[in-house]
Amino acid sequence: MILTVTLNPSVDKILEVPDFHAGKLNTIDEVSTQPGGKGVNVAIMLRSLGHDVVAAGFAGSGPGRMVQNSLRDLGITTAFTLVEEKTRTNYIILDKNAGVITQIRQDGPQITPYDLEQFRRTYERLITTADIVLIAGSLPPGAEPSFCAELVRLATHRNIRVALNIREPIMAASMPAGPFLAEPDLRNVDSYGPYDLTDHDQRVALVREIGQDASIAVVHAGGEALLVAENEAYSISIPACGLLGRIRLDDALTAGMIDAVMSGGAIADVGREGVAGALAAAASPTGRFASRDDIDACTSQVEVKPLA
Amino acid sequence: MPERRVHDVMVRDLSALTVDTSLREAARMFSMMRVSGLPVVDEEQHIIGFLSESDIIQTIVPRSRDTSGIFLTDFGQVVRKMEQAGELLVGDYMTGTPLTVKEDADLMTVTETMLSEGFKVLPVVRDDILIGTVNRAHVCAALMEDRGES
Repeated sequence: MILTVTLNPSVDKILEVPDFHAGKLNTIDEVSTQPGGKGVNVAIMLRSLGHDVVAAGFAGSGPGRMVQNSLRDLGITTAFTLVEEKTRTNYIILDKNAGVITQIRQDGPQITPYDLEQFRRTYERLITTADIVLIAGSLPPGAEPSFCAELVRLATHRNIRVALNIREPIMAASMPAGPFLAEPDLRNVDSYGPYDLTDHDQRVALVREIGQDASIAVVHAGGEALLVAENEAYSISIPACGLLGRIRLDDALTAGMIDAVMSGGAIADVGREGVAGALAAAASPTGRFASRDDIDACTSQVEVKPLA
Repeated sequence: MPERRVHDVMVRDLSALTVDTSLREAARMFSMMRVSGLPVVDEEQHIIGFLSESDIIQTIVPRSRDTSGIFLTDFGQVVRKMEQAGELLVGDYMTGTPLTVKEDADLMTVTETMLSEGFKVLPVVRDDILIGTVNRAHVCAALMEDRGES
């Protein structure tokens, strides 16, 4: 079983607005409502590959109920800790004419110490049947990076593999616990610690540093994915892609890599399948791949190059 | 009518109580989840009991009959019990060794059991580990669907 942890899930309202202008009257061509949050997106894609997936995190009323029902309708088992405040709603405005995405995000519900304790207790039970745990996405107000670090520690102490796709401060707090796969969420940032992400050599230095604490380190930035595991290091180009694909590319990469890890793939295969998943998601109107055939169709486009 | 199995209608949710959950927290979960009861599990998700809203109500609102057979409520005791609800633990009020069903069980047989035994919800297990629940509302919806198809 794959346990995905999304501490701050969302409902994503995707508005297609051609020629969108802030401060002007705009007309919506199409609107869709989808469950969101990095871990939730990964859960949906892993389920589409046939994995047994349990999705956990915090869910409030209203949108939180929609997230849970949508996941269950897809055959994903839910185990969310319920909180008083509403789950957040994020708005994604797609302007296909200009090729621009505008994102408007909420912080998420306030999580109390009581909620954190309830979740921790549930999580401790769930990891007993998990083959791998994915922790992905932002933290809601009230949850500190140290809480995420504790979750990683609880799993690694039981020799359960943990994959991370989280922001720098949370990653920094969690790395000492020794995650299996560590991929910082580098969307919309140009640097990570002292590393300039616009420079290839510095990205390589970053992935090697992360690789000191994780079995597999991944850096996805600058149109490439870099992977390091023990004595192996690879670079894979990820070409520019469609609008919605840009938002969920990272999640598809993570889902593809976890799928390859679950089937015992070598590090190069993990990178290849991850990037093929990202390309498949980019080609999809939903920004998510929907089957193994989708991934297989993109595998031939992926070139895995050893890093010097 | 297609032969339905429990896995066709079960709710794939692992929300559960533990023996050291307070009755106050259990009541809060019932209310937020809009359910009438939840399984009680051990540290490894094995089913060890079930707590229903009736179990809580009977604990908080103990009743006695007067000479004419009418139920009387001791409101003083109700207030005291409500104050204690944060300290009363699920393990002391749950039904132990609850009835469970397997995911591949025949839905009609399970439905008959729910009706004859008065269960609104039954835990679904795989190797004695909780994997979801089946409840009357979802059974009804499935039956209506089948009726529509036929």
